[in-house]
Amino acid sequence: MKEEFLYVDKEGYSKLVNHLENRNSELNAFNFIDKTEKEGKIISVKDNICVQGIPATASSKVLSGYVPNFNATVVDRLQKNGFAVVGKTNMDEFGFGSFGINSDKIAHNPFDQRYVAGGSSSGSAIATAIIKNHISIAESTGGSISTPASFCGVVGLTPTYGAISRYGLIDYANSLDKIGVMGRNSESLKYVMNIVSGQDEKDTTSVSNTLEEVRKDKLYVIDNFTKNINQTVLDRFEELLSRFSSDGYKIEHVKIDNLDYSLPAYYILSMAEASTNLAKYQGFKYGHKLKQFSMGYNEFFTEARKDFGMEAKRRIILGTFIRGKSFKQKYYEKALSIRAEIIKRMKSFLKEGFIISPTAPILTPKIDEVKDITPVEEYSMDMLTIPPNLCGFPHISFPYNYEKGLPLGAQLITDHFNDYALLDFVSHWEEGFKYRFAEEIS
Amino acid sequence: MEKADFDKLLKVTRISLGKDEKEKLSADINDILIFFDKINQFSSSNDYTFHPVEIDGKTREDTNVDKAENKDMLNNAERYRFFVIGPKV
Repeated sequence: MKEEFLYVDKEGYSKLVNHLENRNSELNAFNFIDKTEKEGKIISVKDNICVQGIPATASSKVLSGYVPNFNATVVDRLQKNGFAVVGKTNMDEFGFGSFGINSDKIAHNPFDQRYVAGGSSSGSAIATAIIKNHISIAESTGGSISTPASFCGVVGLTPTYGAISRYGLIDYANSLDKIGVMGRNSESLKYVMNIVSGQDEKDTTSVSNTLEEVRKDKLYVIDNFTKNINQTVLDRFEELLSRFSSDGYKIEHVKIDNLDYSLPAYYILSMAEASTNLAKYQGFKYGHKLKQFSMGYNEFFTEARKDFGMEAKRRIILGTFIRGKSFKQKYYEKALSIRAEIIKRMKSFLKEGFIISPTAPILTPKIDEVKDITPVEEYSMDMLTIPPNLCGFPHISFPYNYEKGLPLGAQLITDHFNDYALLDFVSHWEEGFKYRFAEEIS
Repeated sequence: MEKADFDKLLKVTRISLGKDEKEKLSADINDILIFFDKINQFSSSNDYTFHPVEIDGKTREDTNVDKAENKDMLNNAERYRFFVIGPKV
């Protein structure tokens, strides 16, 4: 399969915008659709990545009205290569969510609007599922590319930590955030990865390592990784493994010690880092501005920060608590050492083969089913996507089956900087499996 | 978490909550802390990693370039002619 992108001229662009506005009123894929006439290969960008002249809110009222006057490096590189940004995609506020419901406008699954689209890059997955040959620039902290890609039936690549510059990204958790890509096939993703990856002097945490394509013929199934998943998901996954086995891959079931700690360790690190990043939103410098200057210092900032959503408030409070002097060793430092331990253990397997699992432990849920679940229940839904995200390992989610009309995704993980091997693996998969997409808007 | 600690955190983070929100969030946070406490069963090593991959840690050279940034800096600011106003300290 060859890379393909939707190219539109200025006239075609207006038509595309009209089509998207109609669909967006039902699906809530976009926070902003750019009506400025343009031409090029069409991409969309998650609303926590800055595009010059288009609002960037990360779906938060705290940032409403903020219009970046600069491009994120990833956007700059794509625009220089003929890509045009059609709009900013919906997401859970600041990336805090797994279902796309922590936003003013709940994202709907394009296959059936009663179901969630997944989060936090919900809009990017919907846009990719409904626009012909689409590519969307997304971002993952703990599974925000894989989960929505799986629920919406598209391919989502989360690259090695540091492989893509984060200059121009609205931070969630600095030691975990990774910009990545969603698309309709692996070749298109490879084309885009070639453009956007590579060191950037504006981001000192971007790395100079070359991305590799070291093929593996062994697939590890981590049994304690998949022990609590839905039976239907497990059955379909077993069928997938049989297919890979008959294609010549060697399947090996193993156990990784201490993997169960990855979920709490991830949430400790991400909340601690998020609470410092969100301290800067005070209704004064960025976005929404409070104009009651007669208020005192504390009163003013407390009033301005009322605009955070409930999940953001929860994470700010918890993150601040965790960072307290008396708890730093108990939580933050312990979580750091768990990360080091899990990297070491996963690496020992990833040197020999890929790790494969379903992307999500459940079938795509209905929006009504997840609205009232507890935070701990929601966090537990990330159990399969957290380990590679915590450890910065590149991973890809790709559609492999359809259950009652909704897609199922599988997740493949490889060692640091072997990102192109994932795309190569999925490229072979695509030779024998035809994806179904929700729509073909052009 | 004790009520006094929770109230102190609200003050420090400058988050104000209604009565119902406060009850819900306080209960949620205690549940989450129980979930976090699971990591105490892990016997800690002193092997930390702040980044998941090795980062060079290079910092940029300081350069003094006149970029005429005032216009850019005030791009999202309120339009006052010679000043920007802020809250009382």
